[in-house]
Amino acid sequence: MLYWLLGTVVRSFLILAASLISAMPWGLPVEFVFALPLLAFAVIHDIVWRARDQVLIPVVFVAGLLVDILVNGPLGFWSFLFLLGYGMTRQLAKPNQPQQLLRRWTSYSLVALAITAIAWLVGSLYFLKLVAFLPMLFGAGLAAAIYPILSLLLGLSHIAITKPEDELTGSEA
Amino acid sequence: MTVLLDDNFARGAAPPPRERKSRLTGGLLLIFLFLSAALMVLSRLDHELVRKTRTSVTELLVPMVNHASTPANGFHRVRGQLTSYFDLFVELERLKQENQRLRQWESRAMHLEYQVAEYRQLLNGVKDFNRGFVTGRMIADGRGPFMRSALVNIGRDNGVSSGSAVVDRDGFVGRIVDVGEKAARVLFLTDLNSRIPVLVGKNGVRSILVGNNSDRPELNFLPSGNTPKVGDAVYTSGHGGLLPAGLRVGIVEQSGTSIRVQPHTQPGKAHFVSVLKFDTLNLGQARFDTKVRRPRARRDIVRAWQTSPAQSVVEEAKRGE
Repeated sequence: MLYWLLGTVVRSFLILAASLISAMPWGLPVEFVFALPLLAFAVIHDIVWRARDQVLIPVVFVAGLLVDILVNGPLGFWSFLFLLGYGMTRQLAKPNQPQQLLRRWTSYSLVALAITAIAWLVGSLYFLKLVAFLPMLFGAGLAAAIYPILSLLLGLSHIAITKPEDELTGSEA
Repeated sequence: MTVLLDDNFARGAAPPPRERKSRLTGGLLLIFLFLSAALMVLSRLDHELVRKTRTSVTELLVPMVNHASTPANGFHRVRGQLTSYFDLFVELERLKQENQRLRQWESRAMHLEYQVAEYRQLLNGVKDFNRGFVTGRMIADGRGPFMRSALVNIGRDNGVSSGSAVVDRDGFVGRIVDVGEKAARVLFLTDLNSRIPVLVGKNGVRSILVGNNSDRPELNFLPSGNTPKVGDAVYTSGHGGLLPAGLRVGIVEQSGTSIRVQPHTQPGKAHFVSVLKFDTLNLGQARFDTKVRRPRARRDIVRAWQTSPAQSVVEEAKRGE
């Protein structure tokens, strides 16, 4: 129980910190700016794969809301996308599955692509104007390219907060 | 009958714990998805509640965002240092030439300003509005497929008000659309919702610079028969009294069916920006304030030049690096 609580708190903090950092002024070319919130989602995706029970839905919602507030986007836009992505990832990451990076990477690329398509659709509906899709696709591509590095880094935090017997079996769910 | 009692579909039989948990998660997910969609609708309607909540939450987040932007500052600094290291010699040569050219322009501009002050006195003209300014740092980047904005760490406490013009060392960046106590939101001139009254070319043809979420905003509402040429300067007209006149915006880049403008600044790449305190309420007052004043002394003009917003932005950037 203590491990679960510790894991949940640390992982929630990681998700919220990633959302905050994604809104920082990194000075990226505008074609790649869409990658930043997708990288915040990458943290959610990675944690769902490693410890799905420790990702709380309200935290995912707040993470999206944080991005919306900081980037001055439509309120609820990124919350909606993060929640949809969370739902898709939960379907792809079944419990007791082997924790291979390639699997996680493929899953993330697929979900990021789906999120991008939905973002384009929702954005176009919201602004009643066809939003340029290509910059969003570039952003998704960049996020997918960075994902393995991010996943390896998150792996370190996973090792630090995983119950020893869970680590041996390779799953917490 | 026995078979039915064993089955999970039978009345009274509870689903296994994992399935129950999954259903609960699914239900919760649907509730939050609905909540997000509802927020989007309220946001689209520009509901007062959404606006107020956004401003209050941003206010609360400012100290945290200020600290969180430290890695981004480090990233900017390292990138700046690397760029300057590689371009050092070329940049030095370019700056020497530019400095020489600007010195001539500076003395010419000072002379002209003195002349204008003298003519204004002769004509009993109205005084210039005081353009105070305050410089701040961008702490959150709001550029994305749908919007071009940023959060700066200066707000009402620093005298920033909604509608104020924002400039960086290269020229006009955008205007303030939302102000809190300690932070303000800048809407870049490239944003879809940005409309800036401008003058184009030597003849000062009136137009509206319309943002389109690309790096090249468009010129709209040009009078018929006034097609600007490529390379024509674009600067703020000050019409409407919202923004000061004469702020450099960019140059006409593409002439034809759609006339695009290449801004002098790269919104979002600037690290420090200055907010001009241009009080539109003073406009009416100034019209009646026709008291004859002596032109400023030459040394005052020099001092004004030395403390211009652009100069301050450069100094802040140097301090930041």
